[in-house]
Amino acid sequence: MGLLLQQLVSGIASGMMIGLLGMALSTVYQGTGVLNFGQGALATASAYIAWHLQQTGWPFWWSFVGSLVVSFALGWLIERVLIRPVADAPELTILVVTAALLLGVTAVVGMIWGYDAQAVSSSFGDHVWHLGDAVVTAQQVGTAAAGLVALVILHLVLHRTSLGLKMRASAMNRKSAAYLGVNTSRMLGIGWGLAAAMGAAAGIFSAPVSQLNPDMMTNALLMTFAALVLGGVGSLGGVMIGGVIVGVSTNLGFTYLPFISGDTADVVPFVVILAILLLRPQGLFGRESGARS
Amino acid sequence: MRTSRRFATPVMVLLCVVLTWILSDYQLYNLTQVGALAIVVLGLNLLMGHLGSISAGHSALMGVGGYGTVLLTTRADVPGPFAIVLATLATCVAGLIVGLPALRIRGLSFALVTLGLAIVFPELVIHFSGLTGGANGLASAPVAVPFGLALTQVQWMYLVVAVSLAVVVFGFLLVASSAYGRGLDAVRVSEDLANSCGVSPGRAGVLTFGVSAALAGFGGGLYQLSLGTATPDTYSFSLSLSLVFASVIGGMRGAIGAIVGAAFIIYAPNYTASLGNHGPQLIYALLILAVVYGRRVIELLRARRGTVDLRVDTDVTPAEPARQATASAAQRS
Repeated sequence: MGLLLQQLVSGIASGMMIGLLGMALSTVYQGTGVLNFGQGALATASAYIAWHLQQTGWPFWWSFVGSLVVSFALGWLIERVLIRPVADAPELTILVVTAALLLGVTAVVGMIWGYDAQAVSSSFGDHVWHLGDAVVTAQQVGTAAAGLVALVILHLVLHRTSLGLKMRASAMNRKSAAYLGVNTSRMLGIGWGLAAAMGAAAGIFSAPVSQLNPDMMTNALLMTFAALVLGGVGSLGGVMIGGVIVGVSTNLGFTYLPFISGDTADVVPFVVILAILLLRPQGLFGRESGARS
Repeated sequence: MRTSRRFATPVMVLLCVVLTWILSDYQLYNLTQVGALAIVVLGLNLLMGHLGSISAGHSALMGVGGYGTVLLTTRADVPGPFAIVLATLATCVAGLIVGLPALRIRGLSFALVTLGLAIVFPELVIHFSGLTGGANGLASAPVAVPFGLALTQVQWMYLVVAVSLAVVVFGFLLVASSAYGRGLDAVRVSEDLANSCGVSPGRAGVLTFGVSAALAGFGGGLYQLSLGTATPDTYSFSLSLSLVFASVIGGMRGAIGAIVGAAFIIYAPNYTASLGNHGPQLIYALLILAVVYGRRVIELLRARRGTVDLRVDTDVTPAEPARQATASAAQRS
């Protein structure tokens, strides 16, 4: 029982971060109509930036905010410089560009900060709670809370501000939005920036658990896609729930399925992706007509 | 053009055969790997350049061919050539099964399935270490030079791969210009167009994925025999990305391009040691960006001179002809 509770909590915490990265993918997908293979690599870069700022003496939360700002600018810049020129090209071209982004960013991170894994201290302190024979760490609770806060903030921005209204309008129908006076290209840039900032939060909060290394978030790529497919691309809350389902089911798979072990971590998300795409392509919470292909 | 190509091909094949006795074993070993990967990239070209679909899972399919060949030669004592043929068939069947979802899902969703395949394959190889040797790898049986020919093992593998590549290139060109090949082009341009021409996009997708997988298995088997020991790291997701980039760098459609792209991913790592572990990847990324944006930069320069209107609209839905019509109408007025 204690083991079950413990696996549930750690699954929820890691699932929240998967969901956060999935929300970043979803934001980009809705704006640009493409899956950004490089999102994980960008998140890793953001985690390194935060770590670097901390090494130079900044307190944790200041370096967190600093990294978020830099990441936002980076995402905005990438949309402007790399994605905009190929926006009208076939899907395949944009996909290849984001794959190049994955390789390029990972290589640059490795060149700047090296390939050795860096241990990162927990951003929420080392407190540990004992619930029966289960052990819950402050890191896990803090990560889950951060995921929830990010979801709420994003929801408020998208549904309670005029900026969010404009963003949703240009994602839904770029041409009509442009006719109504929305600066749609600015909305695209902001969308990429927001996505990069969300990814940054996911990267920074994952770093203490997975240790900082250039391939850190790329290893989570498949789980992130599984969360996205599960939740349905159009629904941010759905993607978050998808992330939690993937995180928890992978953790429970580790514990209770003899076939699944540390070596075969990605079998569960792979099966999830296959099953959902074949049985319910729009995802659990997505709209039928929302998907583009 | 037609006649010159007819002469050029035998001359090139002859030249490649003569190289066997000119180059050192190390150079031949590299060329062998180029040839084996070129076979895989040709299969990928059929899928990407002609059908317009993407596969991030060809490393896994190569792995099925590679591991299949090694397992058959070492555990079942099947002679090398038969092992490769059997492994190719097995990969083709695997490809058809993986391709089945393409009947229902296409585009990005299908790319996700192939991505999952690439990530799960090495994990499964490690998991079933009893069969595959796990992370330590599985040594392949040495390749025997048949008929008592006075060749080293490397020279023999090189000749086998050179001839195989020639056959595959010939087949690729035939298929690409056949009715089936043009059907694939129709699917890429528009699925409605393909449907109205009597080409089922779903069926074409599954079939092409099977053919592409068979080539991946064939190339993978040859690659593996020249490589020696099979390890899960060889067939990781990054190999898939390298293959996709080889296809893009070579232009995605032609046969020569596939060979150039394969040569690039074999030789590039030799020159990027100073850039760190991911040096080759950085070079791929930069080259991809150059390939993708090169044409775009030219267009932009032209736009400066006022021949192309780039501010037509930001909507992606209108087809290319419609946009060209708008642009030319704007010019005329």
